Amino acid sequence: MSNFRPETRKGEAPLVKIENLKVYYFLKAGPVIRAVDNVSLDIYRGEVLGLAGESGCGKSTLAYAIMKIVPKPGQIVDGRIIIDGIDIVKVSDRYMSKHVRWRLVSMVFQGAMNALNPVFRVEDQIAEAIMLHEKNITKEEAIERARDLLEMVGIERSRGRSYPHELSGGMRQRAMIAMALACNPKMVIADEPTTALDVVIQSQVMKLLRELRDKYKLTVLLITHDLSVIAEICDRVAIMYAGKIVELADIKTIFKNPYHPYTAGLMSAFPSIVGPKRRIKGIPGFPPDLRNPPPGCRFHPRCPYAQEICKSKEPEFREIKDGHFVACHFAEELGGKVIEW
Amino acid sequence: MALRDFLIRRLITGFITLMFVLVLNFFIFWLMPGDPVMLLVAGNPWLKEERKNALIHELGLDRPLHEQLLMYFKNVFTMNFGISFVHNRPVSELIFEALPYTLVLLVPAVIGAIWLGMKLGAISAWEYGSKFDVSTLVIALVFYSMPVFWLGMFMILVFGYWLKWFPVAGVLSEKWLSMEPWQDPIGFVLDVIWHMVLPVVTLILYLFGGYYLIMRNTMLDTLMEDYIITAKAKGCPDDVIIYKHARRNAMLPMITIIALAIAGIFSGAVLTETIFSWPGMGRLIFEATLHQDFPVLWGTFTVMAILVVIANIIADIIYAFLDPRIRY
Amino acid sequence: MAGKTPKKYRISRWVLLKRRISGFWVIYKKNKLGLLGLGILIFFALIAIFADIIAPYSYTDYYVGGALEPPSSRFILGTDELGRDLFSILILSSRISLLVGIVAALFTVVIGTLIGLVSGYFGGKVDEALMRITDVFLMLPGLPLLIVFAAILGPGVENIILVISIISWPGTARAIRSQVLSLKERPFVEAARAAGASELYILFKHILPNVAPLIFAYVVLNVPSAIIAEASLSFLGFGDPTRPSWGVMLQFAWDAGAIYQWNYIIPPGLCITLVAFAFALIGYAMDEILNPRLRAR
Repeated sequence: MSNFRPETRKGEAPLVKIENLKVYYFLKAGPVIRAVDNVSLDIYRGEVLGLAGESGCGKSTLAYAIMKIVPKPGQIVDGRIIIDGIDIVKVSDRYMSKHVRWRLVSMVFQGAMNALNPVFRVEDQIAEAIMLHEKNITKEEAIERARDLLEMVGIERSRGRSYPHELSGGMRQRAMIAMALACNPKMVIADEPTTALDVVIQSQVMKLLRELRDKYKLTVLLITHDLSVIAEICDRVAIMYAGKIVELADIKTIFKNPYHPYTAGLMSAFPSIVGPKRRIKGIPGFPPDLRNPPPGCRFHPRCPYAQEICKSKEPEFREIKDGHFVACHFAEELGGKVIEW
Repeated sequence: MALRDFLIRRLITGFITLMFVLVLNFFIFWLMPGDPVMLLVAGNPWLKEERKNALIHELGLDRPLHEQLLMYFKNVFTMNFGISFVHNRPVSELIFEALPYTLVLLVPAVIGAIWLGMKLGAISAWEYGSKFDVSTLVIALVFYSMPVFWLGMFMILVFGYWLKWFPVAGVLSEKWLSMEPWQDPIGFVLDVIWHMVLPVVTLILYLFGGYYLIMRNTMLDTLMEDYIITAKAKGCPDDVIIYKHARRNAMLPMITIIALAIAGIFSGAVLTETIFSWPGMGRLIFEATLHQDFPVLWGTFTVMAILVVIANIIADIIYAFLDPRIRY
Repeated sequence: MAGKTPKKYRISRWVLLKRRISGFWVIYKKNKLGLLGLGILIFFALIAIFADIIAPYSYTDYYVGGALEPPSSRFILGTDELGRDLFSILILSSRISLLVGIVAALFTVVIGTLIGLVSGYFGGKVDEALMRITDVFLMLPGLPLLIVFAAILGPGVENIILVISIISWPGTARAIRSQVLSLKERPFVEAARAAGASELYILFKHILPNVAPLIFAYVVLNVPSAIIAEASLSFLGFGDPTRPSWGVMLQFAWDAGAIYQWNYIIPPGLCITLVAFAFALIGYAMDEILNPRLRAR
């Protein structure tokens, strides 16, 4: 567990400040997918912030938006993303490529199966990242640095000359992590770093991330739908649903004392090997269609506590307690007693 | 080394394919018409009886069928295709004379068309849906739809006849009938190039449409791949993404398809050479059909088929160099 | 499944097909280029169908004007070397050009589909043998082979159709085979087998309908190349001079040395180009629609 405490962060400027971000996909056929709809989030230096939610809730889009690589037909429609003091929403693509991408923020992609270019050697791809951002470095030096990085993540230096398909899945993922660290970024976004890996490899990768976090005080935004991964490494957790963040708190609170019905539902669907045996309950219903989300609170069709107001008025994302934010009309009333589904 | 093993294997399969092609060739020229003797020898108006008999013996037409097949292979490898009905010369001589003319048109044309198609296709894919993309697409489709011989005629009409910018036929201007090349080497080369322009441009316009469409398609597929997003996230500028990361991968299926299309290049050559009176293999084969000159037909067709097989082998080898995944 | 679905709930195959087509048409209508292609095609189809009525003169009306006259009020496109009205010949030629193109494309696709189906579905040695043959055919230079066949078989429209089909089937065969390969692993095939269906039955009742869109796409794809192949062969002299096509027109023009008469040279080639272009546009539109990757954009 980390030493992160929400109170100690008061007054400190966050590394990344996301304000009222909206990212929509404008499909050619007509409909608009509101993948990220009015999201606000602060990420502080040195913390590991988990972003959890079901598939399709918009978490990857949010990550892509931070790096401004949202694929067409998606675009950032509104809001601000302030990294290290600069609002990158306003900034040009060239500026992003030169100064922000990989230098300030880098990313470890989901399923590094295809994330590495199959026709280039691994060390060349890492060296490319280095040479893109450091002016006076020779190719040989860059390759040496690449090999150092590989060693750091537990891959033999000689494997640098391999092509991606010659490495195992776990090694590819670790190579991707090495590449993400190449330019000493301030923050690393890990998008589903352990999906498509078996549990043994998963734990290796998680161990590596923890080591890096402890040793280098790395800031990490960890995106996943796997709560066990969140539990292992995160300091704070943001829960995302249908394009909005519904709860944000430190990890203990999220797991033991969630205020939002959705969070509670997730937790009760999550088995635990300690404590009394109980039935796993899922959350009935299906995630909404982001082209036409339900009015008011997006969760209301599936929420056992839904009332009239939930069907018409969107709940505000507000700070209930110190560092604990919830978007629910009845957060105080439910007051962390939401367990029974 | 895996690459070397692959090369060896590819050469072997290429050889086998070549054998199959030649057998098919045998079928067409020996078995289909019914009487190869008539086809290849007897129809020749020039030769005397003894020469004809000698030729029949050379080509093995007086032997039983299975031996004919062996003789056939021997003849192909020694490039003995008999004597032309029209020119009364060995077909192999005619082919060797004509081949350089064909290559001097095809090589620049193919290279030009591939370069043009690939460049425009890559940009089109990157700017998918833009005005550039749509207009280039339409232009490429128009040229793709034009019969090459008509395009040649059109070029002659407009640039040769109306504008008088380029010559309309042949390889050289008339003054070279009484001059030797070494008397004015630069002028000679320039004259040839001046005559080459229209046919080469015709071929390039005819070929580039297909290449453009293929490149555009494969690039569109490639640009959807994850590693492109990685490259962008790393901070690669757009042109590096297109020309380094994407193109390398997009070229792979493209090479396969171009290899298949190599056979089609000769079709273009036949028609273009005919229109522009260019003394290459294409025109040779066309004249042969006009005058029922079957030995020449047989010889040129066989040589073309062999060239196609060789080109395909080369294409596969290039592919192996570019794609590290298939060397196993 | 116990008993058949009651009649009132059964939806006939035709109704399903009609629904699919109308659904497809709704999307197709949005593609401007596709509509343009379709429009041009319909235009030429109408000309071909009503050619006899539209053309003022017949193909054998020799010397109704002088030889190789330029365009005039009497003859919109002038006359050819035998004094015939070029405009009429242009109209009348549309029939053979279109017909040969479509029929040759159909033959090509029929042969290619059969071979692709058998090769893909039955696999093993059959597949290997057929694919070897296909590879060999793919390697043969198209027009030279056409010329050789035509030289041996002789000129004529039917031979042209035959010859084009012999050359073109490998491309279709390969594509169909690919599709079949991916289809035959699907659960519904296993289910049919488990229910006791024979291989042939599965092939024709299950696989074939799923390959149908691809077949249709390949017909569209093959027509332009067939039209151009016919034009090329006719131009080289393998057509039938008594049955006019645009390629035959160009051959006559070339032989008569009329290369500099734009009224003779441009129209036939332009028609070939437009028809091929129309099919290319339709093919492009269909690709845009059917290709899942493109729909998301």
